[in-house]
Amino acid sequence: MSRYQGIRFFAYFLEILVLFMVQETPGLLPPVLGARPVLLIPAALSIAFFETEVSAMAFGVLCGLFLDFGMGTAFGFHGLFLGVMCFLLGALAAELIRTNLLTAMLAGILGIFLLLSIQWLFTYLLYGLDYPGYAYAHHYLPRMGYTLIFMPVTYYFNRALALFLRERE
Amino acid sequence: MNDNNLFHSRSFRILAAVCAAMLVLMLFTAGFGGEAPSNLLSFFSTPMQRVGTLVTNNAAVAAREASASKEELLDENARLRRQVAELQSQLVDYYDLKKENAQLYEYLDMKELNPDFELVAASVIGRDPNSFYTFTIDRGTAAGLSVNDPVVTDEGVVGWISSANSISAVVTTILSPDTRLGGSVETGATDKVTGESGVLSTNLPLSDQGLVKLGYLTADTQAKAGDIVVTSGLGGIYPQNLKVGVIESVNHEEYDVSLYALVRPFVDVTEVRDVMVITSFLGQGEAMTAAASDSTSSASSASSASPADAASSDADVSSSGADDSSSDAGGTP
Repeated sequence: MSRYQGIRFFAYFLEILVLFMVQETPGLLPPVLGARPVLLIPAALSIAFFETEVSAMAFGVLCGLFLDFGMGTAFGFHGLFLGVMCFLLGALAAELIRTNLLTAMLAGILGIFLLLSIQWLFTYLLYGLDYPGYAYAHHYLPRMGYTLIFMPVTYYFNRALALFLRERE
Repeated sequence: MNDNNLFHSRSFRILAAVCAAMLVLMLFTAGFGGEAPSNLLSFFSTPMQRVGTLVTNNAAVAAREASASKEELLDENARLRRQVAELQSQLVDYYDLKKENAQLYEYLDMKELNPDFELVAASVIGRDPNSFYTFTIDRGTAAGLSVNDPVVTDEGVVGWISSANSISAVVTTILSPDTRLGGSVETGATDKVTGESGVLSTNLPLSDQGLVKLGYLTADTQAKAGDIVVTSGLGGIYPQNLKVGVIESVNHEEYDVSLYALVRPFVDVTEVRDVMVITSFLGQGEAMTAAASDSTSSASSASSASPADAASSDADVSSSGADDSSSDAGGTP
């Protein structure tokens, strides 16, 4: 690992820590339709665009573990799914798709929809809680929309970070 | 990208290994509790969350003050300037001390009324966007907290500790829709006016309206709008006579002859910032232990009891399950 790669990874770690703090702090981000954004999902997906598949997966797993910690689910649940998503996105970004805002938004729509739908399936529907349809329509869909708003922000931030540090490598 | 290359690559083998590791971690934390990884992540995140919450709370206070009239603001500004000048020399940790003082006053009031209570004051430092009506507090097992400890304010019941690590704990509030499910607790409650008992529960549409349901009231219930509801002490999770809320309406259950009351809790759990955890009280866990040792007879007597009695025994039995989840059994899966 080169020095600048180490700095980049440390910067990603700090970014994840700060975004976790922001998403968890009460009153910092105003709720919209009762929902608050899950900032770590767009952060993990954005990082995946600028890293190799293994590095992307590592940061996906880290974001997932923080999500598990915040939500109180069994450790590894979000880590597993977000790790796989970021691995695939990292591989696709390296070989198949162009890295630009459009592809980032498409990846964001798909990734956020998939992860939060899996979360709804395993932690709400299969858990046997009442009114799963209501929960999906009134809580999960607004949360997906609100989270997606942050995709351009994290994309441009990580793009700037990656370009800035890669120039020096 | 060549699919064959990807699936036979070193990267793919790493992915498979990480997936296996995540599955093992999931099974391990689901079975034995996730205190070690939780402590590790808490070590990084909790100090930042504390600072973030402090800053946000101060900003919220400032925003409230900004909505006052011009004269009020001018008066207050002059007063604050004088105050700042006086206090600047001794202003180290002023807000922390002020907050702690307020917490201790509440603590003292509650302690005088309930000498058997062991209380720990805590602040809310996190509200996860993925969770329904839960929050994180800045005290954990190191401060004496444990899973199933009740959480209150001087206004009434807030919830219970559903998981804890050494420096923080997750509180599942009475508005959480998984209050009645496996690994969690049922709250026995009593209409203070009529003395009738029932079981508190809720679901997501009710929670979104800030309401809980006092179920299993008999068909001839005297409960009515305006009655105060308190905890009954059944189940061993909450002490007796903690304020819960006020009845808004009494309605018929859809599928049986019993009735239920919609109760608006006294505490707005979505806004609460400072809470107290009752780490010990007289009778804590007794009903759970009794229910565990007497589950067979409870089940048989429940079948012939009135709906209210059935509700009470139901609370006891399910709470015994909650007691089993001793170290890190979250209210969420």
